[in-house]
Amino acid sequence: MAVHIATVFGQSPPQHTGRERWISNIPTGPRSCVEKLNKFMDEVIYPAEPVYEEQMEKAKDRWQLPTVIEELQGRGEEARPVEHVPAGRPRVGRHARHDGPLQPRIRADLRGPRPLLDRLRSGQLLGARHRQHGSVRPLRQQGAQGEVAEAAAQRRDPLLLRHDRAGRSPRPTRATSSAASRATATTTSSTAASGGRRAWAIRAARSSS
Amino acid sequence: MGDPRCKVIILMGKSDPNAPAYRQQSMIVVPRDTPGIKIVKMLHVFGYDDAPHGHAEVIYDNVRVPKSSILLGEGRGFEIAQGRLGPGRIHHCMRAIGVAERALEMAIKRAKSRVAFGQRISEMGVTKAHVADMRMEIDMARLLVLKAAWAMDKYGNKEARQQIAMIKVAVPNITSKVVDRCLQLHGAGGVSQVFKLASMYAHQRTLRLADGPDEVHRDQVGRLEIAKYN
Repeated sequence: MAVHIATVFGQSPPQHTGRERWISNIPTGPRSCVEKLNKFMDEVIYPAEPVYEEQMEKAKDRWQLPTVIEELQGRGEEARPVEHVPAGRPRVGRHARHDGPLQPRIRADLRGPRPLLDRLRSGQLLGARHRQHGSVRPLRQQGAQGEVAEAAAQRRDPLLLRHDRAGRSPRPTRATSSAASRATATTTSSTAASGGRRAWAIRAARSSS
Repeated sequence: MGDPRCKVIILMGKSDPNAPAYRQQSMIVVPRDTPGIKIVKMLHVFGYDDAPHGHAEVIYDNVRVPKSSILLGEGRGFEIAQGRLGPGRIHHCMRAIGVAERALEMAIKRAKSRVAFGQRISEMGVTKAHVADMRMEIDMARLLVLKAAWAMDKYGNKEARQQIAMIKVAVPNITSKVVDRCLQLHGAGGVSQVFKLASMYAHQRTLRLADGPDEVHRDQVGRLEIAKYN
């Protein structure tokens, strides 16, 4: 294999230093920014630093601007990167309104009436689960509202409620314990007993009603 | 104020201590040569006088300027300051990451060029452990700053204020630790002015106090985090 390469190229491939190999691995768009910055630092800034120190040390009055700083004024434009606009597919149809990563549409009864920007109060995205259910916060709120009120009405400590319902069967509520509602709620209670998004909505609707 | 080119001072002070919070300060423009402005002395920062910029201790003794010199309006000084401080904080953090990267590069080059106890310093296990820790910390800080920048672009400075406060606490602390370890890797030369690490260390330490001390930002991050769980 090595012999084959040597005969094809006539010489061994050039050895990159660590820094050049790192730069050559950067994709083309950002690479020009990095190279421009490195060039500016190597050619303009690093040679000026010892000049600055010498001028500060040898100046008769330290409280004057060193001449090298005046000469460097305005040269920062040389390091400014040209804006790299990545080519992307034009968004058409129902994706035309999105300007970020595409997310599945969140059902209105799960996300609640508040708009997305209002829910994400700090711009903090919540990890992998966010893409499945949208923001987790409104789900917690909708489930918690009714349950906390119920716990307070029954003089139970609401802090003992655990709302992390992943895959767990629901606690028996007052609604399901009565015979009349059990007769009418057979289908919804079986769905509510299993986990998943639909069960959340049913439990939330039941506890807030 | 030590710079002879300084002609104008912007003074921020409490104009009405009885006003509601955040409406008590105003900013006012004062010409440098108004009678009554006295520089008591120039202050040092970790021993550096930061000439020609300088940090002056100033007394304003019966300095009078026209009322029209107030910027934006009475009681709006805090508003002006906060408008710039959000982007200013991320600017400081970006520069701090550059400082940390440069310190790491200097430390690795120094370690590769020095031999002690029959071994190159860069081949010692403890050096590799230090360098690994620094690399991880700088990458984590860099990604946090990039995320804050993305959040500022996408949602605006007010929505991203928790992210901005997070980087303002995390990055100067990380950079101080990195510069400290790089200084240690340089040996005794690290504390001199030759390697610039001593002045880097002083500047990063002051960044933990500038643009809002750590305590204020940690309070804000904790409050915003707890407020997410209604």
